[in-house]
Amino acid sequence: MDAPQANGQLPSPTGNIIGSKSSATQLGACDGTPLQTIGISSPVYHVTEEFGDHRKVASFYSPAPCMTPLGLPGVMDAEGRVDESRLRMHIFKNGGVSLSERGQVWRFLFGMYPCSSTSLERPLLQEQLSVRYHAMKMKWHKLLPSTIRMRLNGTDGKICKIFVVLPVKWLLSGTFSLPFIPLSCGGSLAELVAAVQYFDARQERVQQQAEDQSDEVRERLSFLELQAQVLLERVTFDLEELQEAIRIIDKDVPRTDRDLPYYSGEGLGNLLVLRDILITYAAFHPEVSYAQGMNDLCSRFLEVLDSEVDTYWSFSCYMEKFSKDFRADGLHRKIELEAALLKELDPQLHTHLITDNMESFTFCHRWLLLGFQREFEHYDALRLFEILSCDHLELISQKVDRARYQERIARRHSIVCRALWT
Amino acid sequence: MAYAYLFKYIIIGDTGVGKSCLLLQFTDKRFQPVHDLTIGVEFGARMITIDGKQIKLQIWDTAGQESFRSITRSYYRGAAGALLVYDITRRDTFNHLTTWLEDARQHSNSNMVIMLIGNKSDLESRREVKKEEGEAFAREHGLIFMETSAKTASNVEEAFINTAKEIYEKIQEGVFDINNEANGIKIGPQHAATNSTLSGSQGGQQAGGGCC
Repeated sequence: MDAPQANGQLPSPTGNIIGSKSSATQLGACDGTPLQTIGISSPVYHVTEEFGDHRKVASFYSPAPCMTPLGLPGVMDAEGRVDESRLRMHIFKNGGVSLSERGQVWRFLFGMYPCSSTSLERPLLQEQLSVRYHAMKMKWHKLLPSTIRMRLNGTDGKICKIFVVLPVKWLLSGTFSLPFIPLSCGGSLAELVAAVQYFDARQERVQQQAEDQSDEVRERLSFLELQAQVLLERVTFDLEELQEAIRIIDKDVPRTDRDLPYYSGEGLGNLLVLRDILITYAAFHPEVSYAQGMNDLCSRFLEVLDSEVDTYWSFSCYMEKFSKDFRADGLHRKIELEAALLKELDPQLHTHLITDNMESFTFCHRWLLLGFQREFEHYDALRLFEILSCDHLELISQKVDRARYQERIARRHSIVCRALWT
Repeated sequence: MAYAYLFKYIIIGDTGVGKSCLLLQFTDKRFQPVHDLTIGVEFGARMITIDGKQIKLQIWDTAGQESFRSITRSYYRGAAGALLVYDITRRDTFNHLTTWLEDARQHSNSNMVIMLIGNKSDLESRREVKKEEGEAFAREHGLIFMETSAKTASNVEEAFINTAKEIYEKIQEGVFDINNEANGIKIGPQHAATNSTLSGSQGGQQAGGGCC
């Protein structure tokens, strides 16, 4: 298995777990189980909904079977491999995909599933990603037990201290007396209790599921767990930094997308899922840690994928490319590019902004960081994010560059040949 | 709307101290306990009246988090006033004032008027920073000081308007070069007109969320 990198950052899931068919086969061979049978017996494959029809909080595992074929025409082959350029072209030309397909498409688009993986390999990959994520989460839980529950430092609003510090059992058993509840909780107390209850029940459910596995599955999972632990063994945290990141995450999570149905009412528990994902990301990417705005980005992954594990890995893949946006120099560079582009495309507007003291173009900050998430209506913004993320134009221009390069080489080659022959 | 002067303000301070809530209370007269966190910078504007003159406040509300501090610094340039905000229920936000102040002083023009604000004064039971401490800090660093509550609107108008008064006085004293826009002051179209037609009352008219 891969060793952790020197900076404590973990290798990306796709690059190192199952980057190709051969590595997937190796994984299958690790525990001596033939690859073909794994998909069917995988616990992940069977987990569709953890709460039946009443699931209120994102599942831990993928809620949809990861073998479902993509409905887009000509994108997936018989074994379930995805033609990446066709997928991107489809998204671009059709202005995004339908709501029902979005979750599955994003798992490929952002790289959580390698496009080269087959439908038989993916359940195994899913299993490994789940085990590894769980081990990562347990690592910071163990090192900072006081942060397992959300602590709200006197923030007003619907989620408040109790959400956190006190286990829901106390609330329900009545051992916890009312004066402790800040008045601002008011009418939403029932919602709060329900949210924490769903969240806790979900945690117990995950535990229970793990215990209910067949011996064969349990053996395989414990092997994967061991593997994950070995991998995480050498990762060290700067606890002070991490605690500071958690403090800011706890400040930001309650003010994330609260107007979306997914995060309101009984969906409040999804904010706790979001919190766990952000903390795990910050803990294992100390050079990036947490910066404001990541909550907004991660929140849409969670809403679309509706699974904690898949959101973590998809978000991590996204951040591999865009984490520099969350550093001032990275964003600065992007803003400069934006200004240069505007100067090229609309010199008149560019000149106007400069004469009106807006030459720093800092008003673009949020547009560029969040991909216009706050500038459009929610579902339009989701579509736009999807289209921007498909990089179709960029790929086409790369293709053109490559063709030009090959043309140049060919021309040079023919000149040399001609020179040799004459 | 015609104005005599335009003052550019910035609001700075740690994340979660209530910067955006103060702005919303001042421009829209409402309080929103849970709202999206500020990314980059957001703008607000409102017209006030001082000494019979219409003054437009153009307010830049900045994000408080450390990672974008170097970008926030570029906002200081060309600001005539700054509201430096801390949360009276969180000691750490008070402890960070020195860093914020150093930053502001270093990157702004030397005449910028700074108002120190201890926000969330409605949460008396959770208070961690005494009012006297805020006063002492302000005295020591030559700042104006006020405790406000964006929730109850207590002192919010006063905080913005008193800062404007101080800037206005400095203009009268000739401290600010009002022809240099880098000082955060712009002479408006109304300036040349007589000021006798305007009432002396303060506040009232709103210019919504526009920035210019």
